[in-house]
Amino acid sequence: MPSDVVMPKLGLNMTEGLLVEWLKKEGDPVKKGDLLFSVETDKITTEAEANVDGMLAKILVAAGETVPVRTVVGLITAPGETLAAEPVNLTARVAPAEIPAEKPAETVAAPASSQPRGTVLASPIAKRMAAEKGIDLAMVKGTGPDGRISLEDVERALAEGATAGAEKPAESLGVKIEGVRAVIAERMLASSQNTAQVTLHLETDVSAMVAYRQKLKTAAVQHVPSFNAILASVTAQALKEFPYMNAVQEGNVIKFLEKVNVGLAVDTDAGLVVVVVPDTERKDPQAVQAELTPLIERALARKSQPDDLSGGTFTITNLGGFGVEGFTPIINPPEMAILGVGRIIEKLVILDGKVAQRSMMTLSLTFDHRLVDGAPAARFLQAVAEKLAALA
Amino acid sequence: MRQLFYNQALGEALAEEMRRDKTVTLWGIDIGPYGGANGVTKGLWEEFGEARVIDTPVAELGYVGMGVGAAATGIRPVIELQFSDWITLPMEMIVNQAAKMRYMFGGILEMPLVIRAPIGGYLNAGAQHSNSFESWFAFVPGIKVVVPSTPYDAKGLLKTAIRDNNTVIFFEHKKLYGIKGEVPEEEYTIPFGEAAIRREGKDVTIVTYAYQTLRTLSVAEKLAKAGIDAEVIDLRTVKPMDETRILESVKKTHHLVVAQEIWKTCSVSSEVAALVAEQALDYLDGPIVRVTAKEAPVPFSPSLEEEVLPKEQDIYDAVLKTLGR
Repeated sequence: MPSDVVMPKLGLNMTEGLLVEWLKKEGDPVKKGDLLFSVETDKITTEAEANVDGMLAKILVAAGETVPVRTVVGLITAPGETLAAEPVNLTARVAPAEIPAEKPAETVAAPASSQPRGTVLASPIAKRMAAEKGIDLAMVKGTGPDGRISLEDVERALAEGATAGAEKPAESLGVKIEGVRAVIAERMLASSQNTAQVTLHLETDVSAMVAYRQKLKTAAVQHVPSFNAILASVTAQALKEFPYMNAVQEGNVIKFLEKVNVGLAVDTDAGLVVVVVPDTERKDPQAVQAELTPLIERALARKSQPDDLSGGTFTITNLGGFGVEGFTPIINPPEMAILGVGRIIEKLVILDGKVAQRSMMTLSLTFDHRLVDGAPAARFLQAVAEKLAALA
Repeated sequence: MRQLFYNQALGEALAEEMRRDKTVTLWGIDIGPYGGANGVTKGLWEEFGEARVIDTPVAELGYVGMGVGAAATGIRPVIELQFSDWITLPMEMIVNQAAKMRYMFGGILEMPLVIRAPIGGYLNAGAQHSNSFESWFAFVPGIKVVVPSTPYDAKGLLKTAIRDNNTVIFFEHKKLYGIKGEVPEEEYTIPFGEAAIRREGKDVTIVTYAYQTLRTLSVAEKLAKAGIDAEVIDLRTVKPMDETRILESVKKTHHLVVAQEIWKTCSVSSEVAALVAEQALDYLDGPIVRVTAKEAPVPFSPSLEEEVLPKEQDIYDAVLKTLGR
């Protein structure tokens, strides 16, 4: 029977995908792992691979069409197999759902003996000792009958430092890199490899911002803005003034973007997502907050809509809540800069020749040095700081 | 210290207990002037007279049954079976009467009955004279089972058996009557349920009893020459069994061999293996290996008997197997 080629589900929130281009033609031989077609989602563009050897016998969904995930877009026949012999429905259909993606990942380890996976032969005390010491028995060579691992084998492995992390938990269960994690992994690696990132740190006086927020809080206005909402609004103003920081590279052109859509990094159970407030520069902190609240709620509930996460032109990431002072954020491509926000800390500073207690905060701006130089980036950062100081 | 033969040590235990307690009486075939088929009761008829050393007809059901009745009325009979093989005949008396009376009559009587019975093969005595039925009796609640391997144990355990108010089956291996060992002249008894560590070792625990203890100790010396340090545990009483000593030893050596003379299925070795599997599995570093007779009647032919009953080499190989060598 021919194997289905389906629209892959590339992320937790992906419901449909655009079949951009077929990389194989009908009749082409394919091998497992060959790239079959490119697919684009709101988050990512990638290629789908063949999962069997054979021949791409039939294309059911043409390039340019957007179809739900798991839709059968083509058929691969085994060598020697012909489609005519099989009464298959050649119209597009949806393949049965796979087992949910959240099954626990298995321990990944190469068996040391010839035993098949999952049946490492070891004596009871060897198993107990390995569990206590955090040794993966699959990494221990058994010297007993049929390669059985004895207590002595475990002790030898321990002596040879089988595990550097003797403290590691007994069950070394891992988590499969898939879904949001896979998207983050790919994008962060691409960001590191394809851009020239520089981070500037600026400690700035945010007493005015603290007072501004307190004032609104006391006034009990609607949508009292969080510091993140204030920062997003203020940064958006600065981005409007410094368009070279709100840009993308397109071929050999640095394209300044019309819109300023500031994204905010949100830590969820499934991993990092960036929720986007469109046209941020037109919104004051309260208006930004009004939009951020539902965006963040949906993200935490893992119910983000496609628009919640798309269209960002600049990202803010705040680790101040964890006591972090400054850090080197990684750019969220295709954006060309990201602003890291540290904690607000009360410090004694010299102000007008006098010691004063001020609320201080470190801003960490990472930018792509391919597209902008250090001084212009610093000017932008300085502008953000000045706008924060001018809040009233 | 004074050396005594195993049968002499048993006879001394009987004499001492008979002097100590006038209710102790001996019943059996040829135990009077003849002194018993294995010489255990030599001299007792002369000292205690025919009222307390009673020669019985060749009728096991009858004289064991009488013994049960006597025990229920306050006598302490010590009955000698000429061969334990005939214990099949008074089985009803032992298993359904002696073992249960105290329980069924609400504790109004005691059952201070001892049945001494020679067991074992390696004597070319044929299938009906080479049995070892200790597991049958260990199976039944209300019966204690003793299997001494040395003259010292034989005397100390027999004295304890006679003083016990429950049915005790006292199995004496025929190959042991002629062995000599130290037996002090002073009074002593050995409590039930205390195994003896005959040889301390760290590499493997061999649990055994009765005649196999001697054979196992001989194997342990050969193992020592091969660099394997075996610990040999002699159960002394199959029931009660010294679980603590077995488990402690296995927790130390991580390997268990059980060596017994007779058949494997539902035997003492099954019980020891199950005990360790249930309570010390996480300490085992190799499979439990049992050394037993092959499942066939013990042949008369010497060359065939040698094949059916366990050989010393079998114990040696069992140790190598559990150690994975």
